[in-house]
Amino acid sequence: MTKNKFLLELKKGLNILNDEEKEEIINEYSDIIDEKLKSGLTFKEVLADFGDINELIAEILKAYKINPNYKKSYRSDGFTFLEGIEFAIKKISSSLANKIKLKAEDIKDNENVSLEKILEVLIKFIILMVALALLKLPFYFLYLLGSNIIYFGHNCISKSLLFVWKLGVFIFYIITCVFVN
Amino acid sequence: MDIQFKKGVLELIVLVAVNKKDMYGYELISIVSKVVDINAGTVYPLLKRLTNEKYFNTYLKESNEGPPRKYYKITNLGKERKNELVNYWKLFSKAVNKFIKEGVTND
Repeated sequence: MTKNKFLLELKKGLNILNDEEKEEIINEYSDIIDEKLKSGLTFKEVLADFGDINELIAEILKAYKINPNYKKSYRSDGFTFLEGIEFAIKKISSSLANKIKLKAEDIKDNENVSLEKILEVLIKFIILMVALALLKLPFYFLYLLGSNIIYFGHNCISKSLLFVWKLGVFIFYIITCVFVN
Repeated sequence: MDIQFKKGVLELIVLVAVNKKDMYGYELISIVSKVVDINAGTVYPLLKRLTNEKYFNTYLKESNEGPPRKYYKITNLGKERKNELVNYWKLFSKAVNKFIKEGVTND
């Protein structure tokens, strides 16, 4: 963990606050970290002094009278299909953007971009792809099972039923991917 | 010291410190941590709450290094709250001390 990474995580956790408030908090914590480093502590010691970052975020949100579990309650609320898709797209893009940002910070802080780092990223990517592919298997069997039941000859009804079934399984797979991520 | 103990007196200590002179975040943390060993992260949420409750006003002041710093200044309401808490503390600690003393002599 580096200072930038810590501040980035903090910012991410405080996402519900408006930009001005977030900026103010980040400035404050950045100042605290700088002063502590100046007093002779190492960054590791400073970090230990802050304790668990999630608890810290929860504590700050509480000062703004925000329930720190607001994300969870949003998830358990029933939302409509379109909202679900919008939520999925937002979640994928934000988690991807954050991962890339953190990685970039890491590489920037390490100064020399080692082959090791690049390989690490590559292997992680491959593992993710394999995991998603494996996840696809049960859905494929589900699709086969359903299509055997539905398919009863070359006619319009069975074809369109098959299409609806395929689409349903596919959407279910995408949703599962989102929550696994 | 027990964490609940610390949290209980933190508000009192912060009010007394800012009553003495206007301070910025880190300054407060370093003063407060001389009295109680607290997590540096928990002071900011407390300052935010005390500002919301109108015990503190804030203003920005240029610093020699980095962006301007946010200073906390006690309000009249804050002074009242400070006096109230100091009185509570005196009564409370007196009662607890007395109780402990009696407990010890009966050992």
